[in-house]
Amino acid sequence: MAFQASRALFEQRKRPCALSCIAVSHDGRFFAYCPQTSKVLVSEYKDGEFRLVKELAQHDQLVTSIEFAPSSYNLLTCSQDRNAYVWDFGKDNEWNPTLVHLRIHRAATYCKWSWDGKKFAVCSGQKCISVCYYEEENNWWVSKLIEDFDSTVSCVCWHKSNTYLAAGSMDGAVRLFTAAVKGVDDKPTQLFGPDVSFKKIGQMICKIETNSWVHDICFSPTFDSIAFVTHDSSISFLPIQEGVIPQQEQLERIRCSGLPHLRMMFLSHNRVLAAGHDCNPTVYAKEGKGWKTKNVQSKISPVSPPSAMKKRNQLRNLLLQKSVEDSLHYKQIKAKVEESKVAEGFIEDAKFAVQDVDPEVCHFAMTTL
Amino acid sequence: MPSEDEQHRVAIQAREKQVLQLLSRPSAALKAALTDPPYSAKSPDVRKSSMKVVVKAIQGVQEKEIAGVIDELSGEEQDVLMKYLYRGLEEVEACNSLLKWHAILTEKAGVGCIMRVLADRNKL
Repeated sequence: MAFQASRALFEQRKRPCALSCIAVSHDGRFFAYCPQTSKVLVSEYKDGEFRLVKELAQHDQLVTSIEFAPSSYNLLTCSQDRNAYVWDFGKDNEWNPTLVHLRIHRAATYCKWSWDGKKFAVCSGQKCISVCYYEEENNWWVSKLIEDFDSTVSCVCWHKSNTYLAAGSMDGAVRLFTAAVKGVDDKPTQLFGPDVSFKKIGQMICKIETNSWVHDICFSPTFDSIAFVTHDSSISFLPIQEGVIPQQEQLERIRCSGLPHLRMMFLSHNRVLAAGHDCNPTVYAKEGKGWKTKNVQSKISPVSPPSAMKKRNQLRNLLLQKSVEDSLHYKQIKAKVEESKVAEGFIEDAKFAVQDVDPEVCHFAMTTL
Repeated sequence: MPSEDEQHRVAIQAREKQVLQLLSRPSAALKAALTDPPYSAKSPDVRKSSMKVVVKAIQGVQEKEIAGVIDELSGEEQDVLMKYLYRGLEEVEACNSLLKWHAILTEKAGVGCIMRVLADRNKL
């Protein structure tokens, strides 16, 4: 009901609305987003412009997260309607949905494919993560639950081995779990010492207290650290050494001067991009041993359209004046890298997209970062 | 064995003495006042007395020196100071100078500093 009401509100509004999530396919061809509705729109990037190619309507509440599979155009979406779908991209250029058996009765908040695309994790408000994998016999995506949380799980990321995952939750903690599924994964490597057991999925390896909501979490591309952004306007880095369980004391916390970041990603092993309530995407750089804010806010300017930043500020002022928006925090910026060439750990000619209350997606040239 | 609150009370009294001695060097006095906030204290009076020590240190700083003193604080100390400022404003005491400090501290440490006070579960 509440959703119906908010959708009616959305349709009445003259102004454009924020996007709830975006995803870019591995080669940058497709771009999927949800304009705060139950629908997922897919655009194709061709000849320098975006063209809407498909509208995927299967969910019946707000879509909270979209992910393209690591090496195909298969889509994974999850929604507040407690469902997740895997959309198989067929030869006829159509996406066919398969419902995932999530076993949850609260909203799904975030989803993430593993690096080999054989599994994925769906976080939910039921204080658990569903680790899903394909069961050939039943022709069906089934799940196993990891239930060691005190509150809604907000974000998750996979280790390259696909047998460990890190998760951040609203109870102010980051946890590291084993996530190997028998019959799907090969024999897991003992990355955190011989004491870690793989008998059962979801063995907690460590718990790092952050004292505030964790919004997003990422492994570095070299998998030697985990980074996460929290609601206390901080970005933290946790080093990972082979054979050692990470400790709370190793945590490196950087204070941000602006409002909290909501999404983050590694651009390279020593560059992190974070964006959120602050309206300004910020780059953090590793110099020597420690991480520092690399203040690029004034330096980055969108490549196209050039007036987007200005427009965003105008729109923000409009929101403040009219105060029709439920809250200013409604707006979200998300960033996603569209890597077209990765050579020797150096990202060339890659772009990232940022969106806000105005659904126009700005592209930034990576070279300026 | 004295209770935890008692220990905090003794520590705060010692801190107050130290701050009063250091008043001629404003940044040292403030740094001393900001050490070891009594997060674990059960009685609100203990937190209040700790806040009063900080207010004393703040009032010993002349207006044109405020920015310089804040610059000398570490990020951690700036967050604690912001916490004490909000605690002070709750008590409606010396609000004039607290608001002045708040404005300058926000300018220096950014709104992120306010976010950290709001989000932190260790209250004063």
